[in-house]
Amino acid sequence: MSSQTATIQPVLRHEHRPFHAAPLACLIERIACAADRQALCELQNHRTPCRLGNRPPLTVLRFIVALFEMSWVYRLCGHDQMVVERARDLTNDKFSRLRSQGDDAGSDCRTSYAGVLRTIRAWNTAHPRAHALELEAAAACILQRSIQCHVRFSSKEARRYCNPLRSRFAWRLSGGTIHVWIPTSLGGKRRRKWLEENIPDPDPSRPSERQRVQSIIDDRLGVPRVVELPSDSSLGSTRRGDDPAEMLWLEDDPEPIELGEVVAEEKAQRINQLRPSIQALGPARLRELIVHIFRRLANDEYDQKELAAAYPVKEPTLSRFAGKNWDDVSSVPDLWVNTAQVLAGDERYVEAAIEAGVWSNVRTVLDNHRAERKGGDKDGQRALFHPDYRRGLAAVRLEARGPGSVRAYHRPRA
Amino acid sequence: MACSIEQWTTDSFGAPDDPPRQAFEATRRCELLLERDGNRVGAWILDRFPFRAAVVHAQPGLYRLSASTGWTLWVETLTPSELLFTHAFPNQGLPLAAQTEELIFLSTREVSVLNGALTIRVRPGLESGVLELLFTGPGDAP
Repeated sequence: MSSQTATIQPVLRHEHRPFHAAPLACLIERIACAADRQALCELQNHRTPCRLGNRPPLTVLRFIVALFEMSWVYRLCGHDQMVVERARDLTNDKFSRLRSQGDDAGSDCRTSYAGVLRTIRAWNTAHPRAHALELEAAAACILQRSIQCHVRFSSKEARRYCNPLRSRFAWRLSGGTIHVWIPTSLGGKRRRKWLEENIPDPDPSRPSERQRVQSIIDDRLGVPRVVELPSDSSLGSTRRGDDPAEMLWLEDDPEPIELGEVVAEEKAQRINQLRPSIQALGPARLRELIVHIFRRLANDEYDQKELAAAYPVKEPTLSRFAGKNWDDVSSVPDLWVNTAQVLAGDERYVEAAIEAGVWSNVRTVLDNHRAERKGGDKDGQRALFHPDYRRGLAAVRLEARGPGSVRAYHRPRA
Repeated sequence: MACSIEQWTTDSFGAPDDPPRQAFEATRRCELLLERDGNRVGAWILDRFPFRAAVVHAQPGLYRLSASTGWTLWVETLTPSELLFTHAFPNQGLPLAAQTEELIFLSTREVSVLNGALTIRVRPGLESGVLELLFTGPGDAP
Protein backbone atom coordinates (compact mmCIF):
# COMPACT_ATOMS: atom_id res chain seq x y z
CA MET A 1 0.00 0.00 0.00
CA SER A 2 1.36 3.38 -0.92
CA SER A 3 -0.50 6.16 0.73
CA GLN A 4 0.46 9.82 0.83
CA THR A 5 -0.90 12.61 2.96
CA ALA A 6 -0.71 16.16 1.74
CA THR A 7 -2.13 19.44 2.87
CA ILE A 8 -3.15 21.89 0.18
CA GLN A 9 -2.15 25.35 1.24
CA PRO A 10 -4.17 28.25 -0.05
CA VAL A 11 -1.42 28.81 -2.49
CA LEU A 12 -1.33 28.59 -6.02
CA ARG A 13 -0.85 26.02 -8.54
CA HIS A 14 -1.96 28.07 -11.53
CA GLU A 15 0.48 30.81 -12.29
CA HIS A 16 -2.03 32.65 -14.42
CA ARG A 17 -4.59 32.58 -11.59
CA PRO A 18 -2.64 33.38 -8.48
CA PHE A 19 -5.80 33.58 -6.34
CA HIS A 20 -7.61 30.51 -7.61
CA ALA A 21 -7.40 28.85 -4.21
CA ALA A 22 -8.28 31.92 -2.16
CA PRO A 23 -11.70 32.02 -0.50
CA LEU A 24 -14.13 34.79 -1.35
CA ALA A 25 -13.49 36.73 1.85
CA CYS A 26 -9.77 36.70 1.14
CA LEU A 27 -10.32 38.03 -2.39
CA ILE A 28 -12.57 40.79 -1.13
CA GLU A 29 -10.01 41.72 1.47
CA ARG A 30 -7.26 41.90 -1.16
CA ILE A 31 -9.40 44.14 -3.34
CA ALA A 32 -10.60 46.43 -0.55
CA CYS A 33 -7.31 46.76 1.30
CA ALA A 34 -4.66 46.36 -1.37
CA ALA A 35 -6.46 47.34 -4.60
CA ASP A 36 -5.26 44.02 -5.98
CA ARG A 37 -6.23 43.79 -9.63
CA GLN A 38 -5.46 40.09 -9.86
CA ALA A 39 -7.81 39.42 -6.99
CA LEU A 40 -10.45 41.52 -8.71
CA CYS A 41 -9.87 39.64 -11.95
CA GLU A 42 -10.23 36.31 -10.14
CA LEU A 43 -13.48 37.44 -8.52
CA GLN A 44 -14.92 38.88 -11.72
CA ASN A 45 -14.00 36.09 -14.08
CA HIS A 46 -13.81 32.89 -12.10
CA ARG A 47 -16.10 33.21 -9.09
CA THR A 48 -19.84 32.67 -9.06
CA PRO A 49 -21.04 34.01 -5.71
CA CYS A 50 -24.50 35.10 -6.83
CA ARG A 51 -27.76 33.22 -7.12
CA LEU A 52 -31.02 34.17 -8.78
CA GLY A 53 -33.83 31.75 -8.14
CA ASN A 54 -33.02 28.33 -9.50
CA ARG A 55 -30.54 29.54 -12.07
CA PRO A 56 -26.96 28.29 -11.95
CA PRO A 57 -24.57 30.41 -9.88
CA LEU A 58 -23.68 33.70 -11.53
CA THR A 59 -20.62 35.91 -11.61
CA VAL A 60 -20.96 39.38 -10.16
CA LEU A 61 -21.25 41.02 -13.57
CA ARG A 62 -23.73 38.50 -14.92
CA PHE A 63 -25.79 38.93 -11.79
CA ILE A 64 -25.88 42.70 -12.30
CA VAL A 65 -26.95 42.23 -15.91
CA ALA A 66 -29.65 39.77 -14.81
CA LEU A 67 -30.95 42.19 -12.17
CA PHE A 68 -31.22 44.95 -14.73
CA GLU A 69 -33.43 42.76 -16.87
CA MET A 70 -35.97 42.44 -14.07
CA SER A 71 -39.15 44.48 -13.99
CA TRP A 72 -38.64 45.86 -10.48
CA VAL A 73 -35.40 47.52 -11.60
CA TYR A 74 -37.21 49.04 -14.58
CA ARG A 75 -39.76 50.39 -12.15
CA LEU A 76 -36.98 51.80 -9.98
CA CYS A 77 -35.59 53.49 -13.07
CA GLY A 78 -38.92 54.99 -14.06
CA HIS A 79 -39.20 52.67 -17.08
CA ASP A 80 -36.58 54.78 -18.83
CA GLN A 81 -34.08 52.75 -20.82
CA MET A 82 -31.49 55.48 -20.61
CA VAL A 83 -31.75 55.53 -16.81
CA VAL A 84 -31.55 51.73 -16.71
CA GLU A 85 -28.39 51.71 -18.78
CA ARG A 86 -26.76 54.37 -16.69
CA ALA A 87 -27.73 52.66 -13.44
CA ARG A 88 -26.28 49.39 -14.75
CA ASP A 89 -23.02 51.10 -15.69
CA LEU A 90 -22.83 52.74 -12.28
CA THR A 91 -23.41 49.43 -10.52
CA ASN A 92 -20.84 47.68 -12.69
CA ASP A 93 -18.32 50.35 -11.82
CA LYS A 94 -19.02 49.96 -8.13
CA PHE A 95 -17.99 46.31 -8.31
CA SER A 96 -15.40 46.28 -11.06
CA ARG A 97 -13.65 49.62 -11.37
CA LEU A 98 -10.44 50.17 -9.48
CA ARG A 99 -9.49 53.81 -9.67
CA SER A 100 -5.90 54.35 -10.62
CA GLN A 101 -3.67 56.99 -9.10
CA GLY A 102 -4.55 60.49 -10.14
CA ASP A 103 -7.99 59.41 -11.26
CA ASP A 104 -10.41 61.06 -8.88
CA ALA A 105 -13.57 60.74 -10.92
CA GLY A 106 -16.19 58.03 -10.76
CA SER A 107 -16.72 55.03 -8.56
CA ASP A 108 -14.04 52.95 -6.92
CA CYS A 109 -14.96 49.37 -6.21
CA ARG A 110 -12.74 49.35 -3.13
CA THR A 111 -15.40 51.34 -1.33
CA SER A 112 -18.11 48.79 -2.11
CA TYR A 113 -15.91 45.82 -1.24
CA ALA A 114 -14.79 47.50 1.99
CA GLY A 115 -18.43 47.61 3.09
CA VAL A 116 -18.90 43.97 2.17
CA LEU A 117 -15.72 43.05 4.04
CA ARG A 118 -16.88 44.81 7.20
CA THR A 119 -20.08 42.81 7.17
CA ILE A 120 -18.28 39.54 6.50
CA ARG A 121 -15.96 40.20 9.43
CA ALA A 122 -18.89 41.04 11.66
CA TRP A 123 -20.62 37.82 10.63
CA ASN A 124 -17.46 35.86 11.31
CA THR A 125 -17.14 37.43 14.73
CA ALA A 126 -20.71 36.49 15.51
CA HIS A 127 -20.13 32.93 14.27
CA PRO A 128 -16.70 31.97 15.58
CA ARG A 129 -17.33 28.25 15.14
CA ALA A 130 -18.41 28.50 11.49
CA HIS A 131 -16.19 26.44 9.21
CA ALA A 132 -14.57 27.74 6.05
CA LEU A 133 -17.34 26.64 3.69
CA GLU A 134 -19.99 28.29 5.86
CA LEU A 135 -17.98 31.49 5.83
CA GLU A 136 -17.69 31.19 2.05
CA ALA A 137 -21.46 30.82 1.70
CA ALA A 138 -22.04 33.75 4.06
CA ALA A 139 -19.57 35.92 2.16
CA ALA A 140 -21.31 35.11 -1.12
CA CYS A 141 -24.69 35.95 0.38
CA ILE A 142 -23.42 39.23 1.85
CA LEU A 143 -21.82 40.22 -1.45
CA GLN A 144 -25.04 39.50 -3.31
CA ARG A 145 -27.06 41.62 -0.88
CA SER A 146 -24.61 44.43 -1.28
CA ILE A 147 -25.01 44.31 -5.05
CA GLN A 148 -28.78 44.44 -4.69
CA CYS A 149 -28.50 47.49 -2.46
CA HIS A 150 -26.18 49.21 -4.91
CA VAL A 151 -28.59 48.51 -7.76
CA ARG A 152 -31.14 50.47 -5.79
CA PHE A 153 -28.74 53.31 -5.05
CA SER A 154 -27.49 53.43 -8.64
CA SER A 155 -31.03 53.56 -9.99
CA LYS A 156 -31.79 56.60 -7.85
CA GLU A 157 -28.52 58.22 -8.81
CA ALA A 158 -29.14 57.56 -12.50
CA ARG A 159 -32.61 59.06 -12.29
CA ARG A 160 -31.17 62.19 -10.79
CA TYR A 161 -28.47 62.37 -13.44
CA CYS A 162 -30.74 61.63 -16.36
CA ASN A 163 -33.26 64.33 -15.55
CA PRO A 164 -31.26 67.52 -15.78
CA LEU A 165 -34.45 69.53 -15.76
CA ARG A 166 -34.90 69.08 -12.00
CA SER A 167 -32.52 69.30 -9.09
CA ARG A 168 -32.74 68.60 -5.39
CA PHE A 169 -33.14 71.44 -2.96
CA ALA A 170 -32.74 71.33 0.79
CA TRP A 171 -35.32 73.66 2.29
CA ARG A 172 -34.02 74.45 5.74
CA LEU A 173 -36.66 75.39 8.25
CA SER A 174 -36.52 76.01 11.96
CA GLY A 175 -37.76 72.50 12.76
CA GLY A 176 -35.55 70.65 10.25
CA THR A 177 -34.90 70.27 6.54
CA ILE A 178 -37.21 69.15 3.75
CA HIS A 179 -35.56 67.82 0.58
CA VAL A 180 -37.60 68.46 -2.54
CA TRP A 181 -37.20 68.38 -6.31
CA ILE A 182 -37.54 71.70 -8.10
CA PRO A 183 -37.27 72.49 -11.82
CA THR A 184 -33.91 73.95 -12.66
CA SER A 185 -35.68 76.83 -14.36
CA LEU A 186 -36.34 78.13 -10.86
CA GLY A 187 -32.86 78.67 -9.60
CA GLY A 188 -30.84 80.11 -6.78
CA LYS A 189 -32.45 82.17 -4.07
CA ARG A 190 -35.73 82.23 -5.95
CA ARG A 191 -36.36 78.70 -4.80
CA ARG A 192 -36.56 79.50 -1.12
CA LYS A 193 -38.67 82.55 -1.83
CA TRP A 194 -41.01 80.59 -4.04
CA LEU A 195 -41.41 77.88 -1.43
CA GLU A 196 -42.09 80.41 1.32
CA GLU A 197 -44.75 82.04 -0.82
CA ASN A 198 -46.42 78.90 -2.08
CA ILE A 199 -46.16 76.25 0.62
CA PRO A 200 -48.52 76.94 3.49
CA ASP A 201 -47.55 75.90 7.00
CA PRO A 202 -44.47 73.74 6.34
CA ASP A 203 -43.57 71.43 9.21
CA PRO A 204 -40.63 69.03 8.74
CA SER A 205 -41.78 66.93 11.70
CA ARG A 206 -45.18 66.24 10.19
CA PRO A 207 -45.53 62.75 8.67
CA SER A 208 -45.39 62.72 4.86
CA GLU A 209 -44.60 66.44 4.82
CA ARG A 210 -42.03 66.01 2.07
CA GLN A 211 -44.60 64.34 -0.17
CA ARG A 212 -47.12 67.10 0.52
CA VAL A 213 -44.65 69.84 -0.33
CA GLN A 214 -43.44 67.99 -3.41
CA SER A 215 -46.95 67.52 -4.73
CA ILE A 216 -47.63 71.25 -4.40
CA ILE A 217 -44.42 72.00 -6.28
CA ASP A 218 -45.28 69.51 -9.00
CA ASP A 219 -48.78 70.89 -9.35
CA ARG A 220 -47.69 74.50 -9.63
CA LEU A 221 -44.37 74.23 -11.46
CA GLY A 222 -44.93 71.07 -13.42
CA VAL A 223 -42.61 68.10 -13.70
CA PRO A 224 -40.23 68.63 -16.60
CA ARG A 225 -39.17 65.33 -18.05
CA VAL A 226 -37.19 64.05 -20.96
CA VAL A 227 -39.30 61.79 -23.12
CA GLU A 228 -37.82 59.29 -25.53
CA LEU A 229 -39.35 58.75 -28.92
CA PRO A 230 -38.93 55.89 -31.31
CA SER A 231 -35.80 56.05 -33.40
CA ASP A 232 -36.02 57.58 -36.81
CA SER A 233 -33.01 57.35 -39.06
CA SER A 234 -34.14 60.35 -41.04
CA LEU A 235 -33.67 62.45 -37.92
CA GLY A 236 -30.23 61.17 -37.12
CA SER A 237 -28.35 63.70 -39.17
CA THR A 238 -28.05 66.21 -36.39
CA ARG A 239 -26.26 63.91 -34.02
CA ARG A 240 -25.43 65.45 -30.71
CA GLY A 241 -23.20 64.46 -27.84
CA ASP A 242 -24.12 61.86 -25.27
CA ASP A 243 -24.24 64.21 -22.35
CA PRO A 244 -27.84 64.31 -21.07
CA ALA A 245 -27.26 67.91 -20.08
CA GLU A 246 -27.51 68.66 -23.78
CA MET A 247 -31.17 67.82 -23.59
CA LEU A 248 -31.75 71.08 -21.78
CA TRP A 249 -33.46 73.67 -23.83
CA LEU A 250 -30.74 75.72 -25.42
CA GLU A 251 -31.75 79.14 -26.54
CA ASP A 252 -28.82 79.31 -28.91
CA ASP A 253 -29.53 75.91 -30.37
CA PRO A 254 -29.08 76.62 -34.08
CA GLU A 255 -31.33 73.96 -35.57
CA PRO A 256 -33.19 71.69 -33.21
CA ILE A 257 -35.27 69.04 -34.92
CA GLU A 258 -38.87 69.92 -34.34
CA LEU A 259 -42.08 68.06 -34.11
CA GLY A 260 -42.79 69.79 -37.38
CA GLU A 261 -40.24 67.61 -39.13
CA VAL A 262 -42.05 64.49 -38.06
CA VAL A 263 -45.36 65.94 -39.20
CA ALA A 264 -43.73 67.08 -42.46
CA GLU A 265 -42.45 63.60 -43.13
CA GLU A 266 -45.85 62.12 -42.40
CA LYS A 267 -47.65 64.59 -44.66
CA ALA A 268 -45.13 64.16 -47.46
CA GLN A 269 -45.78 60.43 -47.44
CA ARG A 270 -49.54 61.00 -47.65
CA ILE A 271 -49.49 63.96 -49.98
CA ASN A 272 -52.21 62.47 -52.16
CA GLN A 273 -54.72 63.00 -49.32
CA LEU A 274 -54.13 66.77 -49.20
CA ARG A 275 -55.81 69.61 -51.06
CA PRO A 276 -54.87 69.63 -54.80
CA SER A 277 -53.15 72.98 -54.54
CA ILE A 278 -50.94 71.64 -51.74
CA GLN A 279 -50.33 68.39 -53.62
CA ALA A 280 -48.97 70.47 -56.46
CA LEU A 281 -45.99 71.40 -54.32
CA GLY A 282 -44.62 67.86 -54.41
CA PRO A 283 -43.37 65.88 -51.38
CA ALA A 284 -39.97 67.55 -50.99
CA ARG A 285 -41.31 71.10 -51.25
CA LEU A 286 -44.21 70.27 -48.94
CA ARG A 287 -41.83 68.87 -46.35
CA GLU A 288 -39.79 72.03 -46.55
CA LEU A 289 -42.88 74.22 -46.21
CA ILE A 290 -44.14 72.47 -43.09
CA VAL A 291 -40.78 72.58 -41.37
CA HIS A 292 -40.54 76.23 -42.27
CA ILE A 293 -43.96 76.95 -40.78
CA PHE A 294 -43.09 75.26 -37.50
CA ARG A 295 -39.81 77.08 -37.17
CA ARG A 296 -41.36 80.42 -37.93
CA LEU A 297 -44.08 79.75 -35.36
CA ALA A 298 -41.54 78.85 -32.70
CA ASN A 299 -39.82 82.17 -33.26
CA ASP A 300 -43.05 84.17 -33.60
CA GLU A 301 -42.03 85.03 -37.16
CA TYR A 302 -44.82 83.34 -39.04
CA ASP A 303 -45.86 85.51 -41.94
CA GLN A 304 -48.43 83.83 -44.18
CA LYS A 305 -48.04 86.28 -47.05
CA GLU A 306 -44.31 85.82 -47.18
CA LEU A 307 -44.52 82.05 -47.07
CA ALA A 308 -47.29 81.93 -49.65
CA ALA A 309 -45.13 83.94 -52.00
CA ALA A 310 -42.03 81.87 -51.33
CA TYR A 311 -43.37 78.43 -52.13
CA PRO A 312 -45.66 79.49 -53.93
CA VAL A 313 -49.21 78.76 -52.89
CA LYS A 314 -52.18 81.03 -52.81
CA GLU A 315 -52.62 82.77 -49.50
CA PRO A 316 -56.16 81.46 -48.87
CA THR A 317 -54.88 77.96 -49.58
CA LEU A 318 -52.08 78.37 -47.07
CA SER A 319 -54.56 79.84 -44.60
CA ARG A 320 -56.74 76.75 -44.85
CA PHE A 321 -53.74 74.51 -44.70
CA ALA A 322 -51.83 76.18 -41.87
CA GLY A 323 -53.65 79.34 -40.93
CA LYS A 324 -52.13 81.50 -38.25
CA ASN A 325 -55.25 83.25 -37.00
CA TRP A 326 -57.16 80.31 -35.74
CA ASP A 327 -59.86 82.25 -33.99
CA ASP A 328 -60.93 83.75 -37.30
CA VAL A 329 -61.23 80.66 -39.42
CA SER A 330 -64.33 78.60 -39.56
CA SER A 331 -62.53 75.31 -39.38
CA VAL A 332 -59.25 74.06 -37.99
CA PRO A 333 -56.38 74.36 -40.47
CA ASP A 334 -55.41 70.96 -41.81
CA LEU A 335 -51.86 71.06 -40.53
CA TRP A 336 -52.89 71.52 -36.90
CA VAL A 337 -55.38 68.71 -37.10
CA ASN A 338 -52.68 66.53 -38.62
CA THR A 339 -50.24 67.55 -35.91
CA ALA A 340 -52.75 66.69 -33.23
CA GLN A 341 -53.25 63.29 -34.84
CA VAL A 342 -49.51 62.67 -34.89
CA LEU A 343 -49.26 63.64 -31.23
CA ALA A 344 -52.16 61.46 -30.20
CA GLY A 345 -50.79 58.51 -32.12
CA ASP A 346 -47.96 57.81 -29.74
CA GLU A 347 -48.09 57.86 -25.97
CA ARG A 348 -44.62 59.35 -25.78
CA TYR A 349 -45.75 62.27 -27.90
CA VAL A 350 -48.76 62.54 -25.64
CA GLU A 351 -46.45 62.76 -22.66
CA ALA A 352 -44.47 65.52 -24.33
CA ALA A 353 -47.68 67.37 -25.16
CA ILE A 354 -48.84 67.09 -21.56
CA GLU A 355 -45.55 68.46 -20.37
CA ALA A 356 -45.86 71.32 -22.85
CA GLY A 357 -49.34 72.06 -21.48
CA VAL A 358 -51.07 71.64 -24.82
CA TRP A 359 -52.60 68.22 -24.44
CA SER A 360 -56.08 69.52 -23.61
CA ASN A 361 -55.97 71.58 -26.79
CA VAL A 362 -54.86 68.57 -28.77
CA ARG A 363 -57.77 66.58 -27.37
CA THR A 364 -60.16 69.37 -28.25
CA VAL A 365 -58.84 69.55 -31.80
CA LEU A 366 -59.27 65.84 -32.26
CA ASP A 367 -62.71 65.72 -30.65
CA ASN A 368 -63.97 68.58 -32.78
CA HIS A 369 -62.42 67.20 -35.89
CA ARG A 370 -64.31 63.98 -35.34
CA ALA A 371 -67.48 65.92 -34.55
CA GLU A 372 -67.03 68.00 -37.67
CA ARG A 373 -66.74 64.94 -39.81
CA LYS A 374 -70.03 63.83 -38.31
CA GLY A 375 -71.59 67.29 -38.79
CA GLY A 376 -70.78 68.80 -35.38
CA ASP A 377 -70.92 72.29 -33.94
CA LYS A 378 -68.41 74.62 -35.64
CA ASP A 379 -69.10 77.60 -33.40
CA GLY A 380 -68.09 75.67 -30.33
CA GLN A 381 -65.02 74.42 -32.12
CA ARG A 382 -63.96 77.92 -33.14
CA ALA A 383 -64.05 79.22 -29.64
CA LEU A 384 -61.68 76.56 -28.40
CA PHE A 385 -58.61 77.65 -30.30
CA HIS A 386 -56.03 79.87 -28.85
CA PRO A 387 -52.59 81.01 -29.99
CA ASP A 388 -51.09 79.25 -26.96
CA TYR A 389 -51.89 75.99 -28.68
CA ARG A 390 -49.59 76.59 -31.61
CA ARG A 391 -46.85 77.96 -29.37
CA GLY A 392 -47.16 74.88 -27.21
CA LEU A 393 -46.89 72.61 -30.19
CA ALA A 394 -43.90 74.48 -31.47
CA ALA A 395 -42.28 73.97 -28.08
CA VAL A 396 -42.53 70.22 -28.42
CA ARG A 397 -39.25 69.46 -30.06
CA LEU A 398 -37.40 66.44 -31.14
CA GLU A 399 -33.74 66.02 -30.74
CA ALA A 400 -31.74 63.39 -32.54
CA ARG A 401 -29.28 61.64 -30.28
CA GLY A 402 -27.42 59.44 -32.66
CA PRO A 403 -28.78 57.32 -35.46
CA GLY A 404 -30.84 55.09 -33.18
CA SER A 405 -32.30 57.53 -30.75
CA VAL A 406 -34.60 60.50 -30.94
CA ARG A 407 -35.92 62.48 -28.00
CA ALA A 408 -38.82 64.81 -27.53
CA TYR A 409 -38.75 67.46 -24.93
CA HIS A 410 -40.45 70.69 -24.12
CA ARG A 411 -39.43 74.06 -22.89
CA PRO A 412 -39.60 73.98 -19.09
CA ARG A 413 -42.06 76.46 -17.76
CA ALA A 414 -40.47 79.28 -15.82
CA MET B 1 -26.01 36.80 18.73
CA ALA B 2 -25.76 33.85 16.41
CA CYS B 3 -28.25 33.86 13.56
CA SER B 4 -28.63 32.45 10.10
CA ILE B 5 -26.70 33.87 7.17
CA GLU B 6 -29.91 35.16 5.64
CA GLN B 7 -31.07 36.86 8.83
CA TRP B 8 -27.72 38.47 9.37
CA THR B 9 -27.41 39.89 5.89
CA THR B 10 -30.99 41.06 5.88
CA ASP B 11 -30.35 42.96 9.08
CA SER B 12 -27.13 44.36 7.71
CA PHE B 13 -28.39 45.66 4.41
CA GLY B 14 -32.11 46.03 4.95
CA ALA B 15 -34.68 43.70 3.51
CA PRO B 16 -35.41 44.41 -0.14
CA ASP B 17 -39.12 45.00 -0.48
CA ASP B 18 -39.46 45.35 -4.22
CA PRO B 19 -37.79 42.37 -5.86
CA PRO B 20 -39.45 39.00 -5.79
CA ARG B 21 -38.27 37.64 -2.48
CA GLN B 22 -37.92 34.08 -3.62
CA ALA B 23 -35.31 35.16 -6.15
CA PHE B 24 -33.06 36.45 -3.41
CA GLU B 25 -34.06 34.69 -0.25
CA ALA B 26 -33.14 31.19 -1.33
CA THR B 27 -31.27 29.45 1.44
CA ARG B 28 -27.56 29.68 0.84
CA ARG B 29 -25.97 26.36 1.66
CA CYS B 30 -22.46 25.04 1.45
CA GLU B 31 -22.07 23.20 -1.81
CA LEU B 32 -19.23 21.21 -3.29
CA LEU B 33 -18.66 20.54 -6.97
CA LEU B 34 -16.31 17.96 -8.47
CA GLU B 35 -15.16 18.24 -12.07
CA ARG B 36 -13.01 15.99 -14.23
CA ASP B 37 -11.37 17.69 -17.21
CA GLY B 38 -13.87 20.51 -16.88
CA ASN B 39 -16.98 18.29 -16.78
CA ARG B 40 -19.01 18.01 -13.62
CA VAL B 41 -18.96 14.55 -12.14
CA GLY B 42 -20.50 15.29 -8.75
CA ALA B 43 -22.27 17.98 -6.70
CA TRP B 44 -23.23 17.83 -3.04
CA ILE B 45 -24.89 20.04 -0.48
CA LEU B 46 -23.20 19.80 2.88
CA ASP B 47 -26.26 19.65 5.07
CA ARG B 48 -25.05 17.26 7.74
CA PHE B 49 -21.79 16.38 9.42
CA PRO B 50 -19.81 14.29 9.15
CA PHE B 51 -20.50 14.29 5.44
CA ARG B 52 -19.41 11.37 3.30
CA ALA B 53 -19.62 10.88 -0.45
CA ALA B 54 -18.00 8.56 -2.97
CA VAL B 55 -17.45 8.94 -6.69
CA VAL B 56 -17.17 5.58 -8.41
CA HIS B 57 -15.84 4.82 -11.89
CA ALA B 58 -13.20 7.51 -11.52
CA GLN B 59 -11.06 7.61 -14.65
CA PRO B 60 -7.69 9.30 -14.99
CA GLY B 61 -7.86 13.04 -15.62
CA LEU B 62 -7.61 16.49 -14.06
CA TYR B 63 -9.88 16.64 -11.02
CA ARG B 64 -11.03 19.84 -9.41
CA LEU B 65 -13.04 20.10 -6.21
CA SER B 66 -14.54 23.51 -5.56
CA ALA B 67 -17.19 25.34 -3.62
CA SER B 68 -20.18 26.49 -5.69
CA THR B 69 -18.80 30.02 -5.49
CA GLY B 70 -15.84 28.96 -7.61
CA TRP B 71 -13.35 28.64 -4.77
CA THR B 72 -10.96 25.84 -5.74
CA LEU B 73 -10.37 23.52 -2.80
CA TRP B 74 -8.38 20.85 -4.55
CA VAL B 75 -7.04 20.30 -8.03
CA GLU B 76 -4.95 17.31 -9.03
CA THR B 77 -4.27 15.15 -12.04
CA LEU B 78 -5.04 11.54 -11.16
CA THR B 79 -3.14 8.99 -13.20
CA PRO B 80 -3.66 5.28 -13.80
CA SER B 81 -1.06 4.58 -11.13
CA GLU B 82 -3.49 6.08 -8.60
CA LEU B 83 -6.77 4.79 -9.99
CA LEU B 84 -6.02 1.34 -11.41
CA PHE B 85 -5.10 -1.51 -9.13
CA THR B 86 -2.67 -3.18 -11.53
CA HIS B 87 -0.76 0.07 -11.98
CA ALA B 88 -0.85 1.02 -8.33
CA PHE B 89 0.23 -2.38 -7.03
CA PRO B 90 2.10 -4.06 -9.90
CA ASN B 91 3.71 -6.59 -7.63
CA GLN B 92 0.42 -7.89 -6.28
CA GLY B 93 -1.67 -10.33 -8.23
CA LEU B 94 -5.25 -9.50 -9.17
CA PRO B 95 -7.46 -10.06 -6.13
CA LEU B 96 -9.90 -12.89 -6.13
CA ALA B 97 -13.57 -11.98 -5.94
CA ALA B 98 -13.65 -12.97 -2.29
CA GLN B 99 -10.80 -10.64 -1.52
CA THR B 100 -11.99 -7.47 -3.27
CA GLU B 101 -13.96 -6.15 -0.30
CA GLU B 102 -10.84 -6.26 1.74
CA LEU B 103 -8.68 -4.66 -0.93
CA ILE B 104 -10.98 -1.73 -1.47
CA PHE B 105 -9.70 -0.23 1.74
CA LEU B 106 -6.34 0.34 0.12
CA SER B 107 -5.79 3.93 -0.90
CA THR B 108 -3.20 5.40 -3.20
CA ARG B 109 -3.68 9.00 -2.28
CA GLU B 110 -5.09 10.95 0.62
CA VAL B 111 -5.39 14.70 0.57
CA SER B 112 -6.44 16.91 3.44
CA VAL B 113 -7.82 20.39 2.79
CA LEU B 114 -9.47 23.15 4.81
CA ASN B 115 -7.15 22.54 7.72
CA GLY B 116 -8.07 18.91 7.88
CA ALA B 117 -11.84 19.41 7.78
CA LEU B 118 -12.11 17.80 4.35
CA THR B 119 -10.31 14.64 3.33
CA ILE B 120 -10.15 13.30 -0.22
CA ARG B 121 -9.11 9.68 -0.55
CA VAL B 122 -8.33 7.91 -3.83
CA ARG B 123 -8.77 4.14 -4.03
CA PRO B 124 -7.79 2.10 -7.07
CA GLY B 125 -10.05 -0.44 -8.73
CA LEU B 126 -9.73 -2.98 -11.46
CA GLU B 127 -11.00 -0.77 -14.30
CA SER B 128 -11.56 2.56 -12.53
CA GLY B 129 -11.01 4.10 -9.16
CA VAL B 130 -13.10 5.52 -6.35
CA LEU B 131 -12.85 9.01 -4.87
CA GLU B 132 -14.05 9.39 -1.32
CA LEU B 133 -14.88 12.69 0.30
CA LEU B 134 -15.12 13.05 4.05
CA PHE B 135 -16.04 16.39 5.53
CA THR B 136 -15.94 16.39 9.30
CA GLY B 137 -16.79 20.06 9.75
CA PRO B 138 -15.90 21.94 12.88
CA GLY B 139 -17.53 19.37 15.14
CA ASP B 140 -20.34 21.51 16.49
CA ALA B 141 -21.45 22.89 13.18
CA PRO B 142 -25.17 22.64 12.42
